[in-house]
Parts: sequence; C-alpha cells; structure tokens
Amino acid sequence: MLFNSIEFALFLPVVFLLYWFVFRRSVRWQNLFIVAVSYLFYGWWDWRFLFLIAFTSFCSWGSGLLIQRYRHRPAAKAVHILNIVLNLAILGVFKYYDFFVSSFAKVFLHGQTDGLLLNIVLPVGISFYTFQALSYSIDVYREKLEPTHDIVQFFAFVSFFPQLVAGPIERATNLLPQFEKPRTFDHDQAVDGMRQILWGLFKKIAVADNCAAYVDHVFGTYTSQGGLTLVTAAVLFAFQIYCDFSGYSDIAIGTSKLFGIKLMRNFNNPYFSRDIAEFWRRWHISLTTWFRDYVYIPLGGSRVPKAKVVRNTFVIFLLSGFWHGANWTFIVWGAYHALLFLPLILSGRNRKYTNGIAEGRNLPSISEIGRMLLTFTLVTVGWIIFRADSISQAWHYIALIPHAGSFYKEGLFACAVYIVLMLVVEWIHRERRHGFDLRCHYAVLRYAFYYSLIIIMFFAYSNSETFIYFQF
Amino acid sequence: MKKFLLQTLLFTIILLVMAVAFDVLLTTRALRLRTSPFATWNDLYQRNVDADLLVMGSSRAFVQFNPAIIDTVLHTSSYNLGMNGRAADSQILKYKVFRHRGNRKPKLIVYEVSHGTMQKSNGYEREQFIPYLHDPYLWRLCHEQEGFSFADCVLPSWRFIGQRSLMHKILFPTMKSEYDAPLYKGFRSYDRKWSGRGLRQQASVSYTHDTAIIRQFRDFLDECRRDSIQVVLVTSPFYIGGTRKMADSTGMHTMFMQIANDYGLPYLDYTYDELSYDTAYFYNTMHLNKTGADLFSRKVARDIDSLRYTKFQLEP
Repeated sequence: MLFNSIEFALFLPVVFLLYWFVFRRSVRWQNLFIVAVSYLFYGWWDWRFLFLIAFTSFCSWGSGLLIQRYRHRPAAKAVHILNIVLNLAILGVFKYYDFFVSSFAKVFLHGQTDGLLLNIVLPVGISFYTFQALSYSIDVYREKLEPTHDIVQFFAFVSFFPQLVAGPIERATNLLPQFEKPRTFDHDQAVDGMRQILWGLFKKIAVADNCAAYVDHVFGTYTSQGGLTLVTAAVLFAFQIYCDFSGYSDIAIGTSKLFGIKLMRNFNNPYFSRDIAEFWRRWHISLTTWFRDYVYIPLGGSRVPKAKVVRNTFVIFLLSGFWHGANWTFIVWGAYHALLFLPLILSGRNRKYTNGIAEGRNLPSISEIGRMLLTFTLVTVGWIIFRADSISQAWHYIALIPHAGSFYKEGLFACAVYIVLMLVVEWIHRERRHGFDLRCHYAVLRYAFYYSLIIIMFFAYSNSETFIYFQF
Repeated sequence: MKKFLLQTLLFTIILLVMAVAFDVLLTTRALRLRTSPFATWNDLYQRNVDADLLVMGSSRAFVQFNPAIIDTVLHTSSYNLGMNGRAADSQILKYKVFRHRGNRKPKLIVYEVSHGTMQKSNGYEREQFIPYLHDPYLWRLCHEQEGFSFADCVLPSWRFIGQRSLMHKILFPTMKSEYDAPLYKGFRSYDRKWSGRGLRQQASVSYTHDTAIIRQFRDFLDECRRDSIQVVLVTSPFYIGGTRKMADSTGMHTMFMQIANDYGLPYLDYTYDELSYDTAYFYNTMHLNKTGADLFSRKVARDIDSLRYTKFQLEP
C-alpha cells in the first residue's frame, strides 16, 4: 500500500479511529492492533513476505531474551552473533545472492549463470526492518537496553506500518519504550503530523514524480541528448531522490504523530549543506547514525591512526552504498563519497559546520551560497553514478556532458516551479522540526496555504510512481 | 481529540465542496466541446445522434466516411462514431454507451475493418473517457480496459487529477489547428497533401489480431443480428505502397471475409480500389485526405445503395 494511494487514504482514518476509540483502554490491545494493521499494510503488497518479517522479529526478540539470560557468559555472545548472522543471511539471500553469483560468474564462469540465479523478488523494506531489528539485539547485548518480554510490543516496534518499508530506521532505545507506555492524544502533535503528511505528499507528488518523468526520459535516451540536458536531468534527479525519500519520511513521521509515536528526523535540509560532512549529517540520518554507532565507532571511529581512519571511512561508505542495493553503481557511489569525505576527516574539518545554516539571518552569505552550490554539485555527480544502470553507463553519461546538443524542455518549467517552492518553504523552516513546521498565527493564511498545496498537487499529479527507496 | 476531529472534518468538507464545484465546472464545460474526441461523446450523451446509419471503426472511419455525402447519396441520416487510434474493443464500448444513453437504434452499421481492428486498444486518447466517468455504466465498461479506479467514478474531481492537458482543453478550448476544428456528425477530414509518413515506417504497420477481440467483435455482430441491425464490413482504401509492405495483409482480408461469410454480411474491400494507387488522395498510407475521403464516401455510399435493394430488406 503506497502512502500516495487511495487505499492508504481510506486505511489511515479507519485505523486512526479504531486505535483511539476502540483500543485506547489497553496498551497491549493498542500494540496488538498496530501489529495487525501493520501486517495488513505490508501484506497488501505481498502477504507471503509477512512470514519473513515475523521470523526476523521473532529471532531478534528471542535473541534479546537469551542474551539477557546468559549475560556475561559465552553463550550470550554466541546468541548475539548467531542472530546477526541469521539476519544478514536472510538479507543476503533475498537482496544480494543473485548479485554475488552473477559477479562471481562474470569473473570465473564467463558470465554463465544458468541454473545458479534464484531470481527472488526483493521483499519491500527488508533492509530497513532488518537493520531495525538488529539494532535492538545489539543494544541489548551492549546493555544499553533491557530486553522486552512482551512479544507483541516487540513485533509492533519492528513492523510499525508508517516506517516499515522505507524508514526512518528507528532505534529500539527510542521507539520501543514508546510502545511500553500508554499513549495520550496530543492535539498539537496530531495537527503537526497532518501538516507534515501534507508536505511529504507535496514533495512526492509535485516535485519527485514530475522530476521523475524528465529524468527517466533523459536517462533512457542519454546518448542522444545534449550536455545541458544531461546536467539538468542530473540536477532534477538530485531533487527527485530527495523529495521522494524525504517526502516518504515526512509522511511516515507525520502519520506516527497521529498515533502518539515520535520517530526520529531522517532529513535535515541536506541540500543546504556547506560541505560533504555536513551533507552526511543531514541526509538519511537514521541510516548514517546506524552505521556510525554500530560499525564506525566499534571499528575505532576517527580516534585511531590515520590509516585506520581511512579504512573506517571507506568501510562505512562502501557498506552504506552496498546497503542501497546489489549493484556496483551503489558501491562506487559509496566510494566516491568516501573520497570526498576523507580530506575533511583527515584534516579535522569534518565538524566545521555543525551550527545552523545562516543562523539569525534570512539569507545566506555569498560564501555560504558558494559552499552550498559546490556541495550540491559534488553530490549531484554522485547521483549520476547512483541513478545509472551500470558503471559504464555512468561514465558514458558524464563523458557526454561537455557535448553540445538540443535542449529537452518537456515538463521542465513545472519542475522548476515546484522545486523553487519547495526550497523556499524548507529554507524558511530550516531551523524548525521539519520543512513545513508552519507557525503562522493567522488560521486563514495557514489554511489558504494548505489548500494551495492540495490544488498544486491536483494539477501536478503525474503517473503515480512508487517510492524509490522501496527497492532498497 | 474532539477538536482535532472537528477541524479535520471541516477541512475535508471544504475540500469536498471545492472538488464538487470544480467537477461540475469541468463536466458542464466538457459537455459543450465540439472538438474531437469529445464531440461524439457529447452527442451520444445528450442523445443528439438521430441516425439510421452508423459508421464505426478507427481513425480510418473517423476521417474517411463523410456523413454529409453519405446522407445525400443514400437519402438517410448517418453519424460517424469512428475513434482515433482505437480498436474494436473501444469501438464496441462506444456503441454500447450510445445505445445505453437511449439514442435511436440504427438500421445499418457500416463497420470499417482493417489491420488494427482486431488488436487490443493501447490507451490512445484515453482522456476522452474522463469527463463522462461519473456515468457508472461507462465506468463499468471501461475500468478494466482503461485502468480507471472506482474513485474515478465516485469521488468528485478525482478523475481529473493531473489531467493538465485535458483541463486545458476543457477550460480554454481553441480553434488554432485543424485538430481543433468542430466535427460534423462525428466526422472530420484533413485537407493535407501526401507526406509519405507511415510508408517509411511501414515495418511497424502489420496485421495482428487478438482472439479475445475477435470474440468480442463476433458477440457484437450477434447482438446486431438480435436487434435486427444490418451490418456492412468495409475495408477502406490503403495506399498501395503500404499494402505491398504490410505483413500478412492477405491473412487479414481472409479473416474479414470469413467473418462476413459466417454472418452473411456484405464485405466491401477497397484495398485495391483505384483510389489506393494515387497519393493525391492520401495524406499518409493509412488515411485519405479531404479529396480522397469525399470521393470514397460517395463511392461507398453508392455501393451500399446498390446493396440496399439486393442484400438488404431495408424499407426504401
């Protein structure tokens, strides 16, 4: 079930009313209800993969209890490792098996893969819920979290429908305790949630889907396009992927607020970043911090000799790239960002921009604009690699940029208008909780803006595209 | 909670009122359009089609059978239901709506059959259905074929979401090009010279058929028989250079002859008519221009007239 579908528009109010009016008396019943509707939400796409989520959840829940039982004994470590291996094995089979086999076959079997590939359909959101479940057992093992004995509560934590298929990848330390205590309805939080849902829909429907039409056309015919068109398509893809993914996150976070659950922020105006390090503090925050806490810091982080800093940086960026999918393009994309990040971390300038952007001012300074544009350009080059079907296609695409040719304009004006509107609104709200944290005191103006967004979406709607991050 | 629900309800009601108002505006304005492809839909929805003779088929019916000439020759009233870029599935769907809306039953249907008739329609000019989707009958007929959802039928304005070009056509109708010219009884001709388009891409024009569509076509002929409506199958001129390059054109003619024999229908085949040999009558391989269409309309009307007193038992 897509957030931008009529099914979800019917599903959400029904679930909301039942949650607050029928199941509000008991936390356990509320949690059970959340599990049921989350499984319905997920099963709408393919019910067979419900067993996979249930299995993953059960293993992580069980491992948490066993780790506690055998605390400080070798068995705890064995259970912990077994759970990690099991989760990663499931992820590996469903997501990476065919990739590894075909890569192996390319090198050693002259590309012959007859009978070797499984051609399994990738379960939607598998990378997200696997990482979420893993974070729980790791935190329990590290004694940062007490394991829960309540299986319903744990299943609700893993399968909570707003963030089940594309994050944010929640930490058990943040989300699980929210399923333990009774939820009370907060009017302001619910209104803010609705606002964030509206903004997420705008970003997805108006910006991402319209950019997608242009980008898909140009990437599909890039060999016959002029350089300016190729650059434009790359820039539009940067906005497409941002608005697609952050739009999804906004809808997920906003929907959670309606149920009295607070999810972590996943994007914080990444395209206003002044260097790559700041970009990575603002882009897909839940994944970046996951890798930081569970991979980078255990490896020693940046408080190790420089050679190891280089290794650690490459490890997390390559893993981050590989997390996105079984394709060399993602790995090269990760390596590219590692190369951009390394000079900053080695020179100790990776935390230069931890303050807000243009704090206390309406507009950025000239040098800030320059840094933002440079960062955006570097990120956009990375998106070409990310978007291409293969490394060779990415190189070919970049190599064709200096070539002159006709300029493809179809749908470009509308995209530009929606992007500018989105950027202006997010710039105004850059220091607030989310991009559309509207605090205008005049209700008429607020509502006028809400209706305007809906009207824009009415006209802007193109073919409903699925969310890009569903494939990860 | 109460406050939140009331606010949400109020917000939704205002949105609904806006949607209803916009839906009414678009629908009423769409019903006034006299341009293709809406003009014929408007006529049949407003029961303006009062014809003894109906022309059915694709664009080869739409631009080649001039009702004005047919009416003069046959001393009857005709109407052209031809659909651009559409095959028999859509053509029959349109006929069903035509009947369902209470338009008078025709006495004779002239059905133009050619290489694309027995294929599945591919969604060309899909927007033509949208202004009328509030009609549950039309929606039921075309939701599977065209992919319209139930919401398109029941939710105000829903069917217009993202239809920028359609809304523009409805709200700001223009007469800039010949595409925007008003139709005469569902017909429009093109006063153009031969472009050769189609001949160069002839590899893409080939005869194929879909068995489900053939079955649907035969069901339609059964229905006509039950309703005592006479049917004439016509293959109109196709530029000879194109016919020579078309794959399995013989198979196509054989099949139409077979269907005509099975139902005892006349089959008028103009594939090798003298018109087919002269580019002066075509603007591309598949379509006659205005001159060609007028000549052909006169010719086919005369041929039908001659059939009238032999094969048909129509009252004079």
